Amino acid sequence: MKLASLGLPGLTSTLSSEGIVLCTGRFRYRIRSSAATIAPALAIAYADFELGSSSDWFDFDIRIEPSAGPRALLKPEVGLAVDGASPFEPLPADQAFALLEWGMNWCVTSTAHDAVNCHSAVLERHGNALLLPAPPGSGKSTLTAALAMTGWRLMSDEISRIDLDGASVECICRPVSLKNASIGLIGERFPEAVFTPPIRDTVKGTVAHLRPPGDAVRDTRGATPAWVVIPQFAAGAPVEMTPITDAELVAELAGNCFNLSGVGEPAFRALCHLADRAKGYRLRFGSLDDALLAINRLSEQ
Amino acid sequence: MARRLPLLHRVLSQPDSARDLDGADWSRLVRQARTNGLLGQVLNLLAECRNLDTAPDAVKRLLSAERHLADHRKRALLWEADELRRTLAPLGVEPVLIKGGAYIAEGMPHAHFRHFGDIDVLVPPEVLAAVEKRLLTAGWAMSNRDPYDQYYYRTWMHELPPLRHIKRGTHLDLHHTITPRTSRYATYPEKLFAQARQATSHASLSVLSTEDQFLHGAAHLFSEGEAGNALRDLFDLRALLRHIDDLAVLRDRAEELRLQSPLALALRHIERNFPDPSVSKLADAAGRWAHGAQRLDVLYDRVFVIGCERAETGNPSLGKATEFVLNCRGHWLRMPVALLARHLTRKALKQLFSREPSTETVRN
Repeated sequence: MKLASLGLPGLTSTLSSEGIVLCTGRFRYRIRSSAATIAPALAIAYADFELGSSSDWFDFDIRIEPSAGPRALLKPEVGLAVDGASPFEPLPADQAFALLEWGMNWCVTSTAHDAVNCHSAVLERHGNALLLPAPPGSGKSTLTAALAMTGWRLMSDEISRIDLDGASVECICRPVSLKNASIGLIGERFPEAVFTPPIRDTVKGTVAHLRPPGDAVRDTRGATPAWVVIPQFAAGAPVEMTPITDAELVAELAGNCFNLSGVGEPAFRALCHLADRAKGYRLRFGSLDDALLAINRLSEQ
Repeated sequence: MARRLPLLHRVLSQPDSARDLDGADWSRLVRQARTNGLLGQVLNLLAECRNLDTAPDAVKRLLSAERHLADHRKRALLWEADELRRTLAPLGVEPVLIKGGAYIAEGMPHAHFRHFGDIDVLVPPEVLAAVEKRLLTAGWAMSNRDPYDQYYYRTWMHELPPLRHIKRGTHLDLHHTITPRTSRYATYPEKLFAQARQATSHASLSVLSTEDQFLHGAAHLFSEGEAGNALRDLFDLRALLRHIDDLAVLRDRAEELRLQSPLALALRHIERNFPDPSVSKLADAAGRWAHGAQRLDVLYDRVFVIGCERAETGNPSLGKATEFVLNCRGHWLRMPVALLARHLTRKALKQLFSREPSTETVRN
């Protein structure tokens, strides 16, 4: 059953009772919430996602509820709980959906040490995976959204899950998190793009989530790592795609890795295996068109 | 008398009888284990008796994730402990590993999967100042420079304020005894050092005798003010107990160290939370050396199931009242009333003027 088939009233009431079980690749999240903004945002961003049953196996149990306590009287806040523990400080109530998304990322990065989890987007074309590892502010999500809207299959925006033999990357497709000017940029360029309502004044500025386009949700196959492109947006800069050595590639991925100390030595070996297969590049760009062109040219070589 | 124990307790007591778990049971078990910091331990026990074969693939992957974590953590801990030994060698001081680090150095199977955030070591009180000086010149720094906290730790506690390595970020708790000086469980550090020995699996590292490890664990657990790790710590004690052949030796040692009361509580609650029909000597011993331990059943019967209840409901604020009582008991045991009043007033005033976040702020 797809999430959209619940309808907004059905989704709202299910969320505040037994909750839904959202399936994203191999991870199943049970989500319960009575926070007002959660249901409408889920209905937009996750419309095409399959639902599981809360009386069967699920990986994480998430609750997002309005905080009690004296501070809540002054300013409404929401708190996130995962498996009955609170890993984060509460946030203002209107940031509930952003908190949920960050919490879902945290679930994977803090527990799933069966594979290497890097801070990187993953897209696929013809069975080949493109990894875009980068710290926040590098233009990674903007590029990811644009590629996903132009024929690449979105496999993940925030986390690349690399198997320990370095030979495949998992599909854990979820919405793309866009920030600030990128929201308008992608919205204008792709009128068919569907976004959750923007949330202002988060730690990352304004945030909106893009519904994964096309086949992304239906096709959950993994892919073979073929290219690792380290993007760096620089306003006004000419586009520049520079090959890097295997050692640099491993160091870059390791630097963007969430669980190097969770997986330990096998993680380092996995990244070395990946470097044997994939080619690494540094991409400096000042315009989205140039960057897309450069990446597409890479994939056609 | 018979309480209905949570699934986690039942599986930990008798993993071989945990057959035919369905999807919902696995969900429940993993959640309860995660909240209590016992995921690796419980999955490994199930794998050993082949009861993990029928689990969902996701659960099997969780075990391999826990194995990776554990292998890396163990390697890092042993490296750090050895480094510490080398740093202190010129002083002629052999640091004694305590708590989680000791269990790892002893090669105890249950400890392999134990999560821990810092290294705890014990050095004789008379060399404490020299050890501190040596560590400060070897890259360790005080992670808390608040003057009152420094005063509080140095005057009343059994350890220095936590140290942190400036390059590696490792946390180190340097102890000179195992319980606060003013505690009702205060004991004699010289007696502990007299029986310290080489660790079973890593002979270059020192640990307390198995009995003393148990008594330290018990004194720590039953004067602790928080419930978060209570069940895990109790499970540690149960595993340690299996390495103690003669309970009478343990009892005599408890008398010598004046730790009879935590011993009685530990035996009683191991029995109440991990009942094992094949082991009746424990129930007998717990009954005979009760020391009034049963008076605290009301409190501790709740403490050891709070984590599971939070996991069950997804509600982290459950059991706050129990934790409040536990916290009061912890403080009450730690210091005499007049001193406690002074300390709590200071803390309250300080908190009023500076609010520090207690948990992580969202990033990534």
